Formats: sequence, structure tokens, C-alpha cells
Amino acid sequence: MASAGSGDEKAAAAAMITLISSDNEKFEVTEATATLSQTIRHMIEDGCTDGGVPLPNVTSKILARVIEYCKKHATAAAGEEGSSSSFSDAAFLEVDRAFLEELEEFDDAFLEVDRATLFDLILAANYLDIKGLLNLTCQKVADSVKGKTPEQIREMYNIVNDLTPEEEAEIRRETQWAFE
Amino acid sequence: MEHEHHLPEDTVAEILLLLPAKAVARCAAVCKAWRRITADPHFLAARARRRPHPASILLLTYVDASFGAEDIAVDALPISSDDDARHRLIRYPTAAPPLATTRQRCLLLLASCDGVLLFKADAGVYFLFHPVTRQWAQLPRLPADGYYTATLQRRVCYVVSTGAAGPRYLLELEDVTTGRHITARLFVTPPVPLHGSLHWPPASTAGETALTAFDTVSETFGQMPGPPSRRPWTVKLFEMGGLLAAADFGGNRHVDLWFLEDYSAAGRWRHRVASPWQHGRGWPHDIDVCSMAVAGDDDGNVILGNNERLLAYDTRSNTVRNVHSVMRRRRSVCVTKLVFKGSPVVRGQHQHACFATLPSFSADFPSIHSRS
Repeated sequence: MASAGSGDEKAAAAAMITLISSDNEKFEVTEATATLSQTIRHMIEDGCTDGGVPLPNVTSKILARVIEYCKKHATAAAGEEGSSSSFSDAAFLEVDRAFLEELEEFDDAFLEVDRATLFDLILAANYLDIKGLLNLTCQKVADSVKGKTPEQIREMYNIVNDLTPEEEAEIRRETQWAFE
Repeated sequence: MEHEHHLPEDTVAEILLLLPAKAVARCAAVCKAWRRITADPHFLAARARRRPHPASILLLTYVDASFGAEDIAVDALPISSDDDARHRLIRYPTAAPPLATTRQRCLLLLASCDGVLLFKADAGVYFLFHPVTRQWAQLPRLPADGYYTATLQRRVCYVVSTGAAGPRYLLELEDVTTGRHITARLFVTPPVPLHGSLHWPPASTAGETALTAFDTVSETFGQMPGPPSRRPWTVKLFEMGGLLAAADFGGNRHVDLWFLEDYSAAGRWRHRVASPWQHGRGWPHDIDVCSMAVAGDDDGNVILGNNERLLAYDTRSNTVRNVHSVMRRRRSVCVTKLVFKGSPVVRGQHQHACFATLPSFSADFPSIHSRS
């Protein structure tokens, strides 16, 4: 992990980006961390990040979590690149496996949030275009829906049933096989 | 909470795309917005792209509809018998089919190829249905309506193609001629498409077992050697992992599975495995065999049987399971001999106009149907 850390520091010395949340809090992050977001990557490429990047759709609470995710996963990407040249294949695979496990644990712990936060993370990941984070958070919601009845899903996510009884009967007829 | 916690529809769509078919169908009953999302053609196409439907065998399910009417549903059951991925392709009333046909007859499901279903609606009237986009297309009417057949032995054979070419006259055969081996099984058994040819199981002749093959490029019939069998008429063909395979239902306690190795040259049939099997009591053996379906997928799964006894056989672990989801409903389910695979919808132009004017799907295998 030492090599991955020093690589990160080198990148840090090279370029820092300032992100500004909707409630005007400033976050300093490395370019490697920030560019996990395609939205920010495009801004950097267009050279419009001087004076900070305002993110009016993301609160400081959520931005802090998003940055936490990006830092971890940016390190992962740097670690993979750095280690492939300095380790023998077997050692590389060993480190790789251990690192992936650590990353998985991180992701699991990261998802231990209430529903409101989870939704905010999805919206932020969507807005910032961070593929990994979007997949991770959407999968969490999808898993919670799997195997549930429509009633349970409505209750879980505070969804109002606005279907008319006729529509509901029709849907049930169409999808009866899914309820058997 | 300073704001409502609801996700925009495109994000909900992203989430629902991650779910298996059964869960998606349930989600359609949550609210109007979710119903709209799950019925959207773009969602359906994205879903097919992301989770190609596993190779399946088609089931016809008879469903009680309101007012004592009955509907027919075409369901795709994965060959792996994974019931969670069972998927309803279409449902329509027996009395009033979804398309106005001249005589309002019930649609007859004839074939399934390249993710498209072929229905016959009336004499000479054929429809294609695309389950992913839920689009219909009518094939050009067969020009055979004025043709009068003097005897039942005389058959006119047309190529009905899902491709751009449309149905066209192929040949005329009389059962008393040398065409006998062809006509015997041509029209009751859906052919197995592989390597540009359609294959029919051996005819019930004594001696050598010969398969009938139809070359879809030269549009000619030919014969090829079949697997050795004491009772050739009990042999069913299927495709598995790119090989032509045969299931011999002639045995009393097992079904022999044969695979044709090296299709191009002088192919050799190799006996691979036998699946335990018990023929039903009370049925004459030959009638029993007639209703048997068999299909295989690329992962070593074979499904075989009918609605009375449907077995899922895993050739890798050599284990057999009953497919209870079908056998439990055997009074209302019919196991067809049709296999449903993949969908070409994801390739570029899949929009309505294209299908309405008969698209040229690649990997186009025509289905042959007769008018007698």
C-alpha cells in the first residue's frame, strides 16, 4: 500500500481542485480523485475549474461522502497501475486480491446509510456522473426491491399508489405469473 | 426533511434495469410512474441489451380472463429452469386475437427464431411479433388462397421468412413420391436451425436413420446421417452449445443424448450422456413420445419432457430435477417444442417503422410452413 500512497501524494502535488457544495463549503481534492466524476473531468478539460467548481445540487454532507468514495476508488486505480510494474505476477495477484477485498468491505460500509442519504447519493452520483458510485447505490436499492410485493415496496419507499382499481386489476392480470 | 425523497424517473429506470424479469413485473404494479417506466420501449430495449434473455423453451399457458373468457399466454422458461427468469412474452385472448384478421381465428404460434415469434392467423396470413418492443408486422399474404388441393396427400410448401424476402413458393410434393421422407415430419415438428440449415428429426423408416436438412442458402432439401437408434421415430433434435444434438426417447428408463461432432465434414454422432427417464403409464408409448420437447443451452442444461413430466437435466453435475413450476400447472400449460433465444432489437434501427416494413434481421432463419 505504501507505493499506492506515495503515488497519490505525487498526484496531489501536481494538481488540486476545489469543489464548492450548495451550502458554500469548500473541499480540496486531488485531480485524480475529482476526475472519477465525468462531469468534473470535462470541466477540467475545458479549463473552467479556476476559483473552484460550484456544485449547487450537492450539499456538504453528501459531497463529503462522495469525496470519501472517490478518494478510496482513485487510490485503488492508482494502486493497480503502480503495482503492476513493481511486483512479480504472483505477488501482484496477491496484493490485487487483498485490495479488492478491502475495497468491497469499504463499499459495504459506505452503503450503511439511511434511505434519504442513499437517495441523495444516487442523485449526486447521477449529476456528477460517477459510474461506480451510481451502480453501487442503485444496486443497493434494486436489492431491497427484489422479492418484495408492490405493497411492501410502496411502504418501504413512501410511494403513493395512484393506480385506479381497474388499472391495478389489469396489471395483475398481465403480470399474474410474477406473483405465483 | 427539507425535500421529498423521490428519485426522477430516469434514475428509477436505472434501478429497475438491475432487476430480474419477475421483480420488474411486480414493480409495474407499484404506481403509475413505475408502470409507465416498465412499459417504455426504450426501457424494454435497454433491458434486453443489459440482460439478454437466457435461452428458453416456450410454454403456452391458458389463463382465465374475466367473464369466463380464456387467454393464451406465451411464456419463456429458461432451459436452466430458473423460474425467477421466467418471462411472459405476450398474452392474448383466444376469442379475439390482438390483430384484426379476416376470420378472427385464434393465433397459432408456429415458430420462434432470432427473438421473433411467428404466428399464423388465418389461411395464408402470418404475423411476426417482437416481444421486446411489442411490435407486430404482417408478412405479405401467401398467394396460395386460390390453390385448391385435390387430395390431402398433396402439399404445397412455402418458405416463410422473418427476413425481408417474405414468403415465397418453394416446392410441391406428393406423399406418394420420393418426397415422402420429407413430408412425413416436416410440418408437425419445428426444425432446428444451425449452420445455415434447418434440421428435422429422422423419419419413421426402417434401417438407417436419416435426418432431413434444408439448406437456407441454396433452398434445397438434403439428407444427413442421424444418430443410431433402435426406434428412430422417437428421436428429437435440438441445438446445444453450437452442436446439433439428438435425444432418443426410445429407451424405457433413460433418454440417450447424442451430439454430432464436426458438422461440416463427415460428422460423427457421439453418445455423451443418458438422462434418467420414466415414461408415463397409461399412455401408448408412441403418443407419449409425440408430445415430448427437448432443448439445451450453452451452459450444459437440458430440459426435456412435456407438461406431465418436465425434467431439468444438468449435464455437468449429472443431476436431474423436476420442473415443478410447470408440472404443478400441467392442466393449463402446454410445453411447446419451440426455443426462444436472444433478441436482435438492440442493433441500431429497431424502431416501429422498421419492423412494420419487415426488417431484415441478420442470422435470418426461415421457418417452413405448409398449406394443405
